[in-house]
Amino acid sequence: MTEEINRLKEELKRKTEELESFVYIVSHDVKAPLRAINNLVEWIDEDLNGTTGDVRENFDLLKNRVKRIENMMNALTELSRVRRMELDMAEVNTGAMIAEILEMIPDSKKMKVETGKMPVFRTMHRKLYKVLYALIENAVIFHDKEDGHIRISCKEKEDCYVFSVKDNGPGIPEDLQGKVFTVFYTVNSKDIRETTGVGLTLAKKILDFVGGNIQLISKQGEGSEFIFTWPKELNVTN
Amino acid sequence: MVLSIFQTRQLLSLQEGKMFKSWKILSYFIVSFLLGYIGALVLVFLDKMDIMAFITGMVFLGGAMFVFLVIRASVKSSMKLIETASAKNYLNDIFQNMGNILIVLDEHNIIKTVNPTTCEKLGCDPEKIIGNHVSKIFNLNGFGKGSLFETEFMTKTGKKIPVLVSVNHLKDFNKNFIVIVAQDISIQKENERKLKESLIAVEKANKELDQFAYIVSHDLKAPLRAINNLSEWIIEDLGEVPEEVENHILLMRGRVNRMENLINGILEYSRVGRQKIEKSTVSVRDLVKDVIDNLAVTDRIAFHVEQGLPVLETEQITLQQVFSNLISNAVKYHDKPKGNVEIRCFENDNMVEFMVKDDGPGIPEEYHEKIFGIFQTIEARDTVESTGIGLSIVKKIIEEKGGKIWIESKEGKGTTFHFTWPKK
Repeated sequence: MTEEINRLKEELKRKTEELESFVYIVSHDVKAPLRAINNLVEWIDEDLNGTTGDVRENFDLLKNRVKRIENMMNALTELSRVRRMELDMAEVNTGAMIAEILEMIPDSKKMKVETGKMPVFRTMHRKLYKVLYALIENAVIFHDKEDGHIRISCKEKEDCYVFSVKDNGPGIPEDLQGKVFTVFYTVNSKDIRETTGVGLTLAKKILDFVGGNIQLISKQGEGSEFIFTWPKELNVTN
Repeated sequence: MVLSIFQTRQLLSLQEGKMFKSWKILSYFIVSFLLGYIGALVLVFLDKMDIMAFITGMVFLGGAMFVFLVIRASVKSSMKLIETASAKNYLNDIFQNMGNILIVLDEHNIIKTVNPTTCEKLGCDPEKIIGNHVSKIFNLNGFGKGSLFETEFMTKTGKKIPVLVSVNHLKDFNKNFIVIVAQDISIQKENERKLKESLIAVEKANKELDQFAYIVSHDLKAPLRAINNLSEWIIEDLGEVPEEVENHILLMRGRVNRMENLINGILEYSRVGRQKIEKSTVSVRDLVKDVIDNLAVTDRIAFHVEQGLPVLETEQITLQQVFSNLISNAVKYHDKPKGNVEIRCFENDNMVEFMVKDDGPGIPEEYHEKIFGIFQTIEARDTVESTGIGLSIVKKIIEEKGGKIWIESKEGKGTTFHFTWPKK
């Protein structure tokens, strides 16, 4: 039985590596032809200089699609990096971190952002930043109302912090809530808002890695709340 | 006389009624004594002294026999007692030292005795346990008969220990009692749980990987198709296109196409070994012939297929993929007007070694490892359009099956791919 367990553990490790190598291969090797496409698009752009009408419109659309693939590739690279141990342990002032994130998202100035009492503790700085960034960015960019309101709070538990990012935005229909963590998934068509649909996937992957979890509470039309736990002591095995 | 009947009865009944028969014989003796004495008395009155003397003699003889029997019975009885005592000692040793939980209950399921292991597991003194109802330490009320079953043993701290319990109903002095032997199966349970967990995790990882690979390739291909269509429309709308522009657009479409092929290739690569394929009886000779037919090559290349290629019990599609990749590579990269491709095999104990040999350009030694890496082609991609993913898939398939692949080649002297494939 123990042998069987060890074998399965080995297999599981291999699967995880396989997933990473898949992401890596996609994001790395497919970049070469993408670069070529990018260059050619630039040349064609010059060739078509001065044209208007349908041709211009279609070409702009084409450029947009190239940009979209590029964004997707970059997002994949980001995903493949999650499990790589970066020694970015630091004393993190999460309140200051949130202020920094809001600074990075210009649209957040248009809404009322309320931040509760935020803890200061030692943890993986970049990873926590990415999770908070993804959640706050989502709350801001998908907001559809005039009086946008976002509430960021944190509760301390015995072994973890429970963060919450709550908005009064459009909310997510119940039948789509299970999909939001899927890679490249966007609730709205990408033509409405150009996003890669990787933010929440990345957040979940980071949380899986550090041993936290994430939960979505949302009702269509009434806003969304993402609640995630972040362990105080990181017990990361690689 | 009557007193001795009761005394002997007490002595003999010590052995659980087994000597009841001896007691019966003794009581017959005593009855015959009484009759003898009464007979002797009657004979004294009748003045038949000679017969009386005879009967008295008989009574004395019987008396001697009686004493002998009583002494023999006592000796037997005490010997048995000693035996029982030593047996009890022996049993007690086992009871005290056994690693299993052992509990004796009375007929009302009240705990009468426990062994030290029980106390150790429960973490408290025997006095605290004895006298309690069995449900205080086991997760159940009464017991059925005999059979083995699993339940939980509840310790003082509220911790639950999974146990495998066997129950024996016994009878002693007409009293029923129950002996419970329970084995701590925490380790087994823990292992079972771990095994189950790992199985679920592997399954989940597999599913995740599949889904992820699918979504990624699907979602990446969507904008690629859009680029392709848009470029077509642009050419249409432009009408008269300067040659340079058209070239650029065509070149771009070529790259888009290549990118799509790459993504498909990666998806295929990631799927190797994750799809269950049924085994069937495969004639490798027929399989190789099919592969060659499907290649639709002209008579530029002559194929030499060994007659003795085996029949294997294996997954046809995967083996076909291997041959198809190797043979088509041999053809695709052949650089001479006339060429030969040979397919041969050797059989070992558990594996068959196959060879695909060509007399094409050969591969310089520095590339022998590299060619199996994903996305490696030696020639510039524009000469022969290929994703370079073929050999990496072949390698992954073969290694997944427990085989090996290696290359024997020198620049200008042709290439031989060797690979081993399990017979079963």
